[in-house]
Amino acid sequence: MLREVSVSCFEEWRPIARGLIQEGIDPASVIWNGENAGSLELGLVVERRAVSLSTVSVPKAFLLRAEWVACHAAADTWSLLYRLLWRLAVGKEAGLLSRANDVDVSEFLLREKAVRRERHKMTAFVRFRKVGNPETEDTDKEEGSVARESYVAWYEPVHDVVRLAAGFFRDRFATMNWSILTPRTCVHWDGRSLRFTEGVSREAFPGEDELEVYWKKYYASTFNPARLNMAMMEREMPRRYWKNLPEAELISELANGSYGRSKGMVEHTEDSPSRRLRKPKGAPDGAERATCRSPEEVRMRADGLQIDALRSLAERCQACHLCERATQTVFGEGPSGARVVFVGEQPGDREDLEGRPFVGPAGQLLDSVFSEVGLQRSRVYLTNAVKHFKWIGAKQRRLHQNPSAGEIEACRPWLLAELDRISPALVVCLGATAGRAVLGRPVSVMSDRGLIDDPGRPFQIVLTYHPSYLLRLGTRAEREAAEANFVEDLALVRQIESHG
Amino acid sequence: MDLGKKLEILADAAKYDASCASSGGQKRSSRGKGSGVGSTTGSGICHSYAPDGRCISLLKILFTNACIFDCSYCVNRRSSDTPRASFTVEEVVSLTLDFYKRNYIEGLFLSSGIIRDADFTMERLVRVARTLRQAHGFRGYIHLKTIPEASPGLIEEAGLWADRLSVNVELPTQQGLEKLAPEKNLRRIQGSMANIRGKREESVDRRRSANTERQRNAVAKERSFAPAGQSTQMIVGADGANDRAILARADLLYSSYKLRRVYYSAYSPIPHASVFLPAKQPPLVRENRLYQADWLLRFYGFELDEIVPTSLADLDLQIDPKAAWALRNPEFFPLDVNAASREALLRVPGFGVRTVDRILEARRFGKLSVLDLRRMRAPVGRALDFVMTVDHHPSMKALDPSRLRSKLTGPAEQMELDLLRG
Repeated sequence: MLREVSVSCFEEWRPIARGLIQEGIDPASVIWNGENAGSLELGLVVERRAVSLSTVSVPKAFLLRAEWVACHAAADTWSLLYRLLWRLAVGKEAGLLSRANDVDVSEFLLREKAVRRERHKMTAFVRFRKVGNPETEDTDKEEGSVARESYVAWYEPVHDVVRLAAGFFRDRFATMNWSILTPRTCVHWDGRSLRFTEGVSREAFPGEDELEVYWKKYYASTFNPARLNMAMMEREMPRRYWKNLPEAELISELANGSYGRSKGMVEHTEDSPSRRLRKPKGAPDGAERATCRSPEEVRMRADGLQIDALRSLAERCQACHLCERATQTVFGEGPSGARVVFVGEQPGDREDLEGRPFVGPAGQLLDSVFSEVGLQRSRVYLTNAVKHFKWIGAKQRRLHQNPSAGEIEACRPWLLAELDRISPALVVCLGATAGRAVLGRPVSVMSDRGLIDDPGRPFQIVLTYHPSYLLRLGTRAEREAAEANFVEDLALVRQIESHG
Repeated sequence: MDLGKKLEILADAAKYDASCASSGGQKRSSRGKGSGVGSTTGSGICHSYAPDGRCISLLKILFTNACIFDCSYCVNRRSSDTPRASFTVEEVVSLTLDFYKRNYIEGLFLSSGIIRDADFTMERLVRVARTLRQAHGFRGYIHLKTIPEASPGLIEEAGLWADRLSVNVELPTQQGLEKLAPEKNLRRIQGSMANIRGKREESVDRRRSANTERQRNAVAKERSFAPAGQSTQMIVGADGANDRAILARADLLYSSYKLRRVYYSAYSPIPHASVFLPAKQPPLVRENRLYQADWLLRFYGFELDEIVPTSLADLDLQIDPKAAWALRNPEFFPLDVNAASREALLRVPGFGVRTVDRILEARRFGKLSVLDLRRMRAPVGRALDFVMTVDHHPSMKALDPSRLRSKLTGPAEQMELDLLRG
């Protein structure tokens, strides 16, 4: 026996469908608004049996999504939804909605997408017209109250998505009064609640809004005739929407005139050389005047310069290729009369962005050990063996890479010039790269840690770990042991700093 | 000059910037608010499309098209005879609000020619954004163009009012800039991007590290810095830079400054064009290929060297970059859709992220056939040469590169590019 049911919205469908399931009426036996639900493709045989209310349970996600699909205009949507409900509630087909290859699910997804798109297009293509508001204009306003502006739109969606889109307009235009009129459902907002009414005809819509003139001017001017692409435009803004878009009446005129306009542009070029030559006062100079293209040039040009002049000379250093991928040169920083100079390896991601040494995670660790042993960052000079960040990209992130011997060598004239001008009593080499750059020979932190015996230099040298080495250590025990050594080395530094 | 004429001139002058996104960043709503107007939903909306196929999401205008710079590719360069106009702050503010309340736009994208100097100009852009936010409670989207030479204080304030900031790199190399844009400098441009990334991360960190109720309340009142991040644009075809140079720069900018988007804009003939530039139709196919390559870099796990090997300077115009990679690497195929990893399936020509995710979900319930793929609306025609299913095994002949090439150069479907994303 066939059951005939008539529904008009999801709220009506839901209890009716639940009742049918409880009675055990299979999809093939229901006619929704005159459409037969058809048999299940998989030939699922289900006994007709009454199930108790508590067992009509389906995933909540299904109901939420079904509410959207229910807005689809196709006449057989109710039967599609009932078929899926049946398969979920009675057939207990777990994970049904994950099977995009299932005939019903595939159709469900297609309609869901169509409704989502239609709802999205409604948020895009509704055009309000401003109307007078007798309610606030004619009556005396309360002291301090602002008149609410009123707007009306006419819109014709293919699927009835007015309820789905209403919340968007409420959240955006909460402080205005507005109505959106459509042939099936209208929605109104007065600042307090959304009200839905029956559809109306187009005559209810006011005739004009002076702002549309400006909108059309904007639309025509933002179009680039050299790139005419009507197919792309129609894919995103199909013709059926055009009749309610004020700007759409310009489309054919703009498209037809585009060939002549772009041809004219191609043929007409100009340049008034006199105006090119005069560079106005506020205009910056864009030329990149490389200061040093090789380590030899660095040595030559650094000669006799004080530390600040060195710093600005180094800004545009191109002595090695590392400058090509780094943001900026990260030069040393600290008082020019510092007794201690700390030399690290190279700037990292943060240092590269800020242009200052030791401001990233390694710098923070260094700061905390400084305060532990009583060193003050403001009294020491901090710099790096290599002044540009060397990195490789991995998944849109920058991963640190060790500088090569050649790169350390290319940057060494800068470091030696810094050491010469600061003329410290002690140089602390953080890591092997710093040790190599200061000493001019390979060193091993593991075997040479501590005070280095290297007579003939105007300063003493302490070699210790780079703080980022500590951050990379895997186990807690390893890290604690290394940190203890590091603290011990910096305590020695502190001792030398204060007593000489 | 009347407002309509200004709008025509200053919209026309702004249209060569390809950026259109109104997405990303925070969600805002006017519900329950006593005044002001607007919302942002996180995903952008294209309110209209022009006959050039490009979306119209924001009121994209220049504050003024007078400019002291002389960039050859730009219609507004100081040596061009284009008619000039300037808005006032109030005019931009009321146009934005009037358009917004009629649901024409998602918000404002304001840029400008450089007048007097960088700070003078930047200050005007900031004032428009500040007036919209403070005097009118505008909660819609604001995108401000920032000038690399402007002082950091102005950039910082710009980031407080705007959802997105952008600095255009315009050309991928310093050499290119020196030839065509003598006032622009790549190091300064990247320095400005570094600064914006730094400010944005500081703002995010402050939010993350708010542990106590009181701290959370305090940061909730703060405006976050450019919540929709930063983007940039590169002009394609104005200078001699090849695709590898363009994509290498894009890759560097994404990694270094966390850009949400790099826009590629085919150099298009402009009224009053400079004699230094190619007077020809814009290279639109090339622009499309660059977008496809950009997507592969960001969402499909490809490395730059895979997309444009050092031996090739440019992308193949005939076939899309993913198919081109497949032809260079036939040994990678065929892949079994019932077993291959997500990363591998993303490399199948024709398969997009959505198709691959559907395959991964559905194959948990049973082996997939060609019919299953069709029902999932996977673009089977293109993919079948590269994949195996329970009932389909492509012959080795199918993977012959020259055969595939001629097949793929047929009318190709456009790769799905969600231009709203990011």
